[in-house]
Amino acid sequence: MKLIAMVDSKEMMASLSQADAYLVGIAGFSTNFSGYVTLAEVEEIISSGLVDGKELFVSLNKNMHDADLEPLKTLLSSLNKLPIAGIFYYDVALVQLKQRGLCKHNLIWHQEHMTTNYDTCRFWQNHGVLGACLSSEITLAEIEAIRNQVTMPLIVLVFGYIPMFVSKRHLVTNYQKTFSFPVDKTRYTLKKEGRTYPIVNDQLGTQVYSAHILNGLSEKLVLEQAGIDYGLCNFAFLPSETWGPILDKFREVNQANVTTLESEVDLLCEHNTDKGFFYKETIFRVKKYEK
Amino acid sequence: MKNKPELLAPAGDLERLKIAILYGADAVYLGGPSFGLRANATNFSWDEMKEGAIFAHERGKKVYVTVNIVMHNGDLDGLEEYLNHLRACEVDAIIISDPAIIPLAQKLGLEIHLSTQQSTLNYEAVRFWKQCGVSRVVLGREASKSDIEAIQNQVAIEIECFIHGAMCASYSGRCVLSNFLTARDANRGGCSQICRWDFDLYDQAGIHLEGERPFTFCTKDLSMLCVLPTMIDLGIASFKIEGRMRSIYYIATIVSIYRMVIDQYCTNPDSYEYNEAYEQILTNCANRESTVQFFNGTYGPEAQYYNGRIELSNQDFLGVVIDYDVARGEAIIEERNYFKRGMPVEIFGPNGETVTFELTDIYDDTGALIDVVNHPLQLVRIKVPKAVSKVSMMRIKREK
Repeated sequence: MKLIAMVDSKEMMASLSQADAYLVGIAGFSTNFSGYVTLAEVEEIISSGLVDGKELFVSLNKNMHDADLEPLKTLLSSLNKLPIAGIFYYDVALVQLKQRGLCKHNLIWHQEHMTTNYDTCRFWQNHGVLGACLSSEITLAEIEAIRNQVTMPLIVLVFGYIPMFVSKRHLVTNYQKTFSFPVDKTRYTLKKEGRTYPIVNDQLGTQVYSAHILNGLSEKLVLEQAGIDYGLCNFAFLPSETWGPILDKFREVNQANVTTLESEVDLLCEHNTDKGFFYKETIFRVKKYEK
Repeated sequence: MKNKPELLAPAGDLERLKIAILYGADAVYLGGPSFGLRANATNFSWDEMKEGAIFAHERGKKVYVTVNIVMHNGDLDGLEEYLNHLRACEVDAIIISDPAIIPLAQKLGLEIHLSTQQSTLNYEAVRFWKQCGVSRVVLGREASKSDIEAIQNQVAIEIECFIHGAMCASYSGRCVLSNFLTARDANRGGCSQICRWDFDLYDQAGIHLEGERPFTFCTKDLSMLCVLPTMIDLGIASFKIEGRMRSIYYIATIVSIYRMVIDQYCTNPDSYEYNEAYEQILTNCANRESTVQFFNGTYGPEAQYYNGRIELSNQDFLGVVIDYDVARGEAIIEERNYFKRGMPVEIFGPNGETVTFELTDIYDDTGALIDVVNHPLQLVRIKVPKAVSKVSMMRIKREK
């Protein structure tokens, strides 16, 4: 399994040189990153040799309004000239633009909470999409079943805070304005019932993340065995000195050291880790309708 | 005379389906036994769905069924059988968010509408869905006037927009707060509305930003009444009212107001005037404030709720007219909220008529004159100055 590091700058990329691949978000076109790069910075990253022998993926995963389409087409035209391994998309406009020849790169389906079954993977594959980044709200068994049913490359988040919420509304700013607090930052936290959730209020709106950091170190081995192609690592909100050591453990893990390394990752994350939904099914029928 | 958009109302059950249609909806949408995003609503059995479709079709109205969960592997089993049931019920379209359903629905000849869960906001995406065989796209609630305009100009397809009801704080489909905080799957109908919870907000230095009210995601509702003529002029095919969990009173009130406004504007646009009293009725009915939200860019602080409010049930709704006794000039009312002699009330009905009067003579089921009606579902007779239709609703007459 190759490891993709989500990065927000050339410097972050340099500090995660042991990654097999990188995923960057482009300012104005991407969401759920700790920071964003410009097209010029992508070009600089490529020319600097930082991604030589590695894969560079770009995420254009914001919801596109009509006004975004022309800038998006211009961006794609520039990206078409660059050696990009693929584009992660949320908005279906990207698939349409690919079909019309305006996007030459491979597309990765990343409607993050909707990538939950094999039939829908097949649907997108039949529409020219190369791969899928699977939802973090499905179980390990469901991921394995998808792997068994589809031939497309699959990506699974194995480490980091998990995006839970994306809004066009500036919810923190709205609160600050209502109650006369200065509006001067982008990162905050929400607390509820003893848990702390990172919340980001930026130009594109609001994003909220899980309280716990997904530590899928042992699951990486299972996923690797199952044939999952890429493991995605999100280092957002973590101290920079932990990034490299954590990624190292994901590279080094094997059956013999998994317990030790998993504990070490947990320690680096100040014991704020969990297993997400790898072993936990969500329910949707309650009361008398429950099956 | 302008082309009228379809007025599409929610139907949480058969009673509400009938109320919606009788009060002027051109179409209703509802959930069946599975695969819908209101997994914990009453929803329709197959027999009820058949009966509802017959009731609607006999009146020239349409029925759409939500099949709009984001499916997990296990949900795929039984999907074809389910869609076959829907076909047998002769529903007019299904509303989907997971495109895996498209090939199967096409095979079975079912018309496909794309749910707002896909948050479609641009013409390239709409074009894609049209090529896939989708006949109607329900736009994301974040669509602005210019988004809608551009889509209408670029793609010949039916567009549906929400005009009234509750809003998601997030882009639809991009919120799984419910999954993480309560293990209930938001995209499979289990949403536990975390957006209405209170949270404590802290900055990076750990300082609690504590306003007079706690932080919440909660937003005001959507009401497009004041911009409805603009929306009609945009050529939007269908106007959707949110609220499959809402009461018959809510359905009757909201549908009848929008019915009147659509008819008034389309019949004679030059003489149409915005009636603020209608807006007040809508606000009172939902017990929530509303704005036009993203249509004109008002999604800042003015669109938020921070009042730590608890949803109060609406007390304006007093009763349903079960029958009218022409000889005695009396309506038989089934009580829904406390009312008493001397109270100013109005009865509005499915034909658009409204009768305003003060309650005078109230008789219980023994024929005795009573002052107060305060037993749930109690049947009483009241004097009404004019004839009123069955299934009319009686509410408090409020001063402006």
